[in-house]
Amino acid sequence: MNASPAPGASHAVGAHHLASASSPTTTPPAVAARGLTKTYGRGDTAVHALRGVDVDVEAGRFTAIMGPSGSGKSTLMHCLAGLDTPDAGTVTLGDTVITGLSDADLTRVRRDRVGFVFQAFNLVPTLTAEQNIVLPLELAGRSPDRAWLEEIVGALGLSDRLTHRPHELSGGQQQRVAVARALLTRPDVVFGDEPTGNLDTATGAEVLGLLRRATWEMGQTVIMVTHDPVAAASADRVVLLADGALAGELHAPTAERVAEALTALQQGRAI
Amino acid sequence: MWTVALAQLRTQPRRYVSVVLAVLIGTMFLAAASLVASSAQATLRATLGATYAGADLVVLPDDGGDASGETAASAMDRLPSLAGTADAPGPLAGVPGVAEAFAPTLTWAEVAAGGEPRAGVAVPLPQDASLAGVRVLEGTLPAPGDARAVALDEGTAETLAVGVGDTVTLTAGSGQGAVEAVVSGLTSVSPDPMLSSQAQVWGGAGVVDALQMPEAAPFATAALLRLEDRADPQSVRADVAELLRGEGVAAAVATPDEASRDQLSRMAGGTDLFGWVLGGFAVLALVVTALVIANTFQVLVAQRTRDLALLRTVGASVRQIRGAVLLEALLTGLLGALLGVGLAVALTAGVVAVARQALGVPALSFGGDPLQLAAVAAVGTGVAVVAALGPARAATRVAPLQALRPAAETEVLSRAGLVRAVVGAVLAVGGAVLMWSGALGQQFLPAVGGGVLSFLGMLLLARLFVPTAVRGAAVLARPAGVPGRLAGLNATRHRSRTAATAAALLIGTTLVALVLTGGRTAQAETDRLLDTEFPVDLVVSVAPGQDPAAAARAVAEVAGVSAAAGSVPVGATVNGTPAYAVAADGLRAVVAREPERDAGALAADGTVYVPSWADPTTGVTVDGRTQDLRSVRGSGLQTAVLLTPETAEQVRAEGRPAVGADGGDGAGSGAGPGPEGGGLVLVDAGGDAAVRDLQDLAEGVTAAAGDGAQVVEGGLGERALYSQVIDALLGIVVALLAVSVLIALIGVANTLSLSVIERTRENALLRALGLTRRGLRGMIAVEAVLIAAVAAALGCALGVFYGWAGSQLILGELVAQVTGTAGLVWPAVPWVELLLIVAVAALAGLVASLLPARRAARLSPVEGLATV
Repeated sequence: MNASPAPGASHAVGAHHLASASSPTTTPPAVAARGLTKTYGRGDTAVHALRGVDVDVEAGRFTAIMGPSGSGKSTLMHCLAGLDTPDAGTVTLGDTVITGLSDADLTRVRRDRVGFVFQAFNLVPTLTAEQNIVLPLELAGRSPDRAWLEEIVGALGLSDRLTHRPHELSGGQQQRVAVARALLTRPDVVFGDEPTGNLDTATGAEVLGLLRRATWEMGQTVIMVTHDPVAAASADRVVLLADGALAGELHAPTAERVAEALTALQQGRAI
Repeated sequence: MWTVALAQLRTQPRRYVSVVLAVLIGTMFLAAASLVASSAQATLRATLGATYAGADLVVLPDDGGDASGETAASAMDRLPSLAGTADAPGPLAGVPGVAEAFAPTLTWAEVAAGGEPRAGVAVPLPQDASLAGVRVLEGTLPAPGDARAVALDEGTAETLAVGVGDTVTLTAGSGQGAVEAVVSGLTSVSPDPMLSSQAQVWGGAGVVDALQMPEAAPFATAALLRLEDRADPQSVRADVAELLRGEGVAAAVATPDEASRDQLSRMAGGTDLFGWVLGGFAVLALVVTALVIANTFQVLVAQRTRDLALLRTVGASVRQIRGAVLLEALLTGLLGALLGVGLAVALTAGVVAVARQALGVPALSFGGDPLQLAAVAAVGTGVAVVAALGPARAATRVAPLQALRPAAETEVLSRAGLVRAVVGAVLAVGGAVLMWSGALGQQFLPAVGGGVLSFLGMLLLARLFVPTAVRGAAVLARPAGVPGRLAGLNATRHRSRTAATAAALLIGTTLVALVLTGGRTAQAETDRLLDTEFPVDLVVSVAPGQDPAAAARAVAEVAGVSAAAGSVPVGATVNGTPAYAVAADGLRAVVAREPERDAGALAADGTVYVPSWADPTTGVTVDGRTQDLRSVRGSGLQTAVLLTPETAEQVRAEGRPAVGADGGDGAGSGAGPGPEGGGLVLVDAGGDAAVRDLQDLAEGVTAAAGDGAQVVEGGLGERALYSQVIDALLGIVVALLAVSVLIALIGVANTLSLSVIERTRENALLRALGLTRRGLRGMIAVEAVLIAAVAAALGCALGVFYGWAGSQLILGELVAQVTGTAGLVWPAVPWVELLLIVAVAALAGLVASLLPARRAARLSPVEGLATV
């Protein structure tokens, strides 16, 4: 189904509520945002990264957030993940409103309930792969569930790489370590920021496959920001942003449809 | 080149602050050394110049450079007669063109106005008062022939509370010949450094002669000549020189300027030395500065790899890149140096002004040699540039392609070059061996040279053992959880950087520990030696009629006294040395360690304890009876001959009748240590008496011993004196070294700050993954504390090692002489002070981490992750 498209730029400040996916669900969304607004700079140089964005992300689904450069997709993800605070609006992670939290509380939320996979520099260079994987748990002062750890490590094919340092691992292996770290804490949401951006096609596909499996097999909610239509095609749902506002969404997308929508947005057309 | 350098400095000035600061401090120190020396010279010039200012020509003893030679002394003796007085002019006054010749003779005298006399100097008056070099402030100068009037300097007049018209009494130095004189005028205090600390009494020849001590001939250090108006200075000078030659006096004629410069160069030898010593410490501080700057630029270059590679891609030549880095160093160094010199000038001028007021020394002047100061600024700048040479060269080795690759985190696991390690090991071990052989053999050059080489070797090896030591100490940080572990890993991430940072701190702390160990060992050794020289710590004489035993009991109660024994005079040795009887256990208690063979014999019946300076004869006379006793030689300067009452009884009972005039009643002809018939209390003060309490101890003991008790002698006073001197020296040296330590700590702060900037992205990652702000700050703090504390601890260990060798070198011979043993000096390790050093370094590391940690924690994870 298609939502009402957001017009160009200036007066799109109202809330544009997107209805949920075709199959209505009664479980609360994993992450919900209302009226997210974020502006950088002042006066002439002001950049409106987000203009009153509302979005619900279903639990247990793989959602992609896409858009042309400067659309605000990274900003949206940062706000949803608790890495940045919006100027206005609320973000609810599960049953917790995270936008009003202190920095210390927010940090703890990230530690315990969110997983991250970044495009690069995911790992702490001075720690081994295993130490990197259990890092969030150790920061919390908890010891990992060894059975769960072994399962994840096995599933990601890292069993013989645990004692290696990041500079001894290939790009793909580093990303897999990051995924393992993200999954270990069984977080509410795993956020990926262009996780395959630095990888070649084959390795990238591998990592995407792992994220997909996490959703299917473990019921893990995954939100991924990407500009790559092929990567987005792995998702259940693609949310499109343009100029800081929602521009549409696609369900069960194919790479071609995503590319088409993206091009349309880039050309300023509605999708 | 200019554009790049200036742009870099302008956009990221904060990274260079510590470079400027380090150069500033080092240069300030060096400039201060120069300023102190030149100010001292300026002060001397002002005072000496004033002394000769009134004269047209000055006759100075010319000894060809040896101020203590015979010729100079004899010249000084002859000058007064050559010059004569106002009434009876001498040959010098007879030279054509000379209006007056005046030799300011110095006659010691005491001035009193009914109260405490003040020590001073009586100087005769010249006909023309301007030759005296003082101004009359009130009243008039007495006429040269007046035997009843004097003029006083205003300082003395104030102290004695006298004014013009009052009478003062002058006594000669020998105590005889009091003269009463009326104060006719007050003068300004003489600028002559020889006179200014004493009371100055200006009087006519009559007064001065009356105060003259018969056996001491008057002397003058110079003769001042006033020329007639139309006289030609050159020809008079020649004539005077002729006269002096004719008279066979070793003296030269000079203008006042030449004279003061001549005196100055003699006296300035001392101030020059002081300047050199200060300069030595300043050079050390600059060495540490160089290390800090080299390290800083190394890190800066590493961080700007991409920028530099970009420049290379765009077409900058190797020379231009190197030039840009050196230019940055030049500009920051210049700024630091100029600021340092400026601050030193301001500080010194301020201190001089304050001292002038507070100490009441108006002659104190500020002097600065612009040439020297310019040289100092150049040195400071030069140090910065030289230190940056290495990093500049590293900057040129950046390949252009590195600009195009994404900024990869290169884990630089630099292995210490094998050559460096081997050279370092050879120097360290070989130097240490040389040092110890020199120290044991009392040879200065091998010992010091070996020490320096050994330390250089250690610094080269620092890259090996410092990171390992930090890694080891990081185990202590484990309880802090992940931040602690990360801190430990981060501290040793860049081995060469950690080693370089630590090396600067290592130099400072090693030297401080060295000095402290040496000082403490010296103190312990002198204590031990004094104990041997003065077996009895304190000897107090009690007034006749007081019971020494009771006094001893009272004294034993005084805090700090471990034993006290009373002794009564019982007789004398056959040579007249007084002998005292003291109970056996009391004697054993108060006498310090004696050679083994004697300890058992001490205080046994039939033995007498004889000081080493006394004759070894053992005949003792008690109540008219003499007996030869077995003697136990005291090893030092003990007070008297000691025996037990039983032995005295034995002599009295079994001795043969005494012969000789001085055997009779035991009083002896030699001067006894105490008053006639009085007893002595011998005190052992226990080894741990703190130095500052020694004075109190002596006073307490004297008070406890009853009225009229007086301290006769004992090692305590010497011990207190030596301790004070050692403490004062230590304090000064440690303060001077502290400057180097300060610079090194700035280096630690700097390296840390730059490392934190390097890890911006990584820190952002940690924040994203769940490290709180406080956790991040703690992590950085632990890192800084680890490096600083470990470096300080290593420095302390090295310092003790070298300090031990130094003590061996200096004290070994003395110890061997006195104790007769092999002369091995055991180090007294100043544990408390060393722990303090490590604690201070740790604290400084913590403080150093505050600013970088705050900045790092304030960065939001998003901003940090976006950093390229």
